Amino acid sequence: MTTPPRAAEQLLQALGANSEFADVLLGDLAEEFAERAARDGEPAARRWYWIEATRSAPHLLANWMQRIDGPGCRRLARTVGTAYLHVAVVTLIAIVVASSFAFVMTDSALFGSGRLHATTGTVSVFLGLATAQGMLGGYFAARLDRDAPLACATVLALVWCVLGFAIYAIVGSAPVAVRLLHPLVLLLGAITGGLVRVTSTRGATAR
Amino acid sequence: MPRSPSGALGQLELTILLAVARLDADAHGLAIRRDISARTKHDYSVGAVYTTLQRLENKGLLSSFTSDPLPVRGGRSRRHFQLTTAGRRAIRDAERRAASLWAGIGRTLHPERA
Repeated sequence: MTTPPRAAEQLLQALGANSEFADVLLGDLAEEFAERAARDGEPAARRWYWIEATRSAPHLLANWMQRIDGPGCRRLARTVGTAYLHVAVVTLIAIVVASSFAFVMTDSALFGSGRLHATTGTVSVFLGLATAQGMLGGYFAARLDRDAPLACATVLALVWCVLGFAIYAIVGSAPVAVRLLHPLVLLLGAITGGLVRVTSTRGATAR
Repeated sequence: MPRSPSGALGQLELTILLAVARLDADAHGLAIRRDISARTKHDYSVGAVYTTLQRLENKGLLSSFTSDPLPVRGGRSRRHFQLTTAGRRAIRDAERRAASLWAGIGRTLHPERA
């Protein structure tokens, strides 16, 4: 018997919805997947499953958000804060290592003081490093929350993105491309990091 | 902004309540989704349907029970829904409200029949 894409099922479960809610939803998807696989072939059924999983993800996330009470909110804040701390430590280490190659990573050093010009190359390197930073953050957040790893990474990503736009709005010495792209790159990086964490632990959480 | 009358149902909520009434004993998530998608010509996501079903259950308009686990669902159960007394009353209220809104419209839409 053909089975639905395991990774998609895991991603939906990682959004932290109520287990009963997630179970009936995944059951419906599995039932329709089996029908479509028999009728249209497995590749078409898999495509359908991924599209339907993507469309249903916001509803599972909303269900998780509705369930967060006072203690849950404090736990989430603690988890996200710890993930930021992890990223800060890793970033500091990276800065020290990069400095030894006469490469300064921070935005002010790169673009503010005029020591380096904001060429396409330096902006690309900066955004590349920001992507890695975002991915680390998302990975750590997902690792720290076992109940809703992907939801936690998504919260971290959103907070990061909003903070990024706010900080650039207040102290905006960087080029426009950086001001616009940096928060978005952090957002996408963090969600990708969460996805990587969830799909890399597929053996451990498989039904 | 004008507020909707107290207890008024949203469009999707009413559509789903009607589907549950129509499907009766077969009213489970997948059948409900198929029924409303076929009638409205709109492909609702599984998540949207279950979110609405849960909201209707929280409002006391639906009740539910789970079946035995089924192999075709990866060993998961089906959840069947049925109307409560309040749910039946909500449908009757919606019907009365719609009838009141549509009253007298026929002459405007089909003057040839007048």
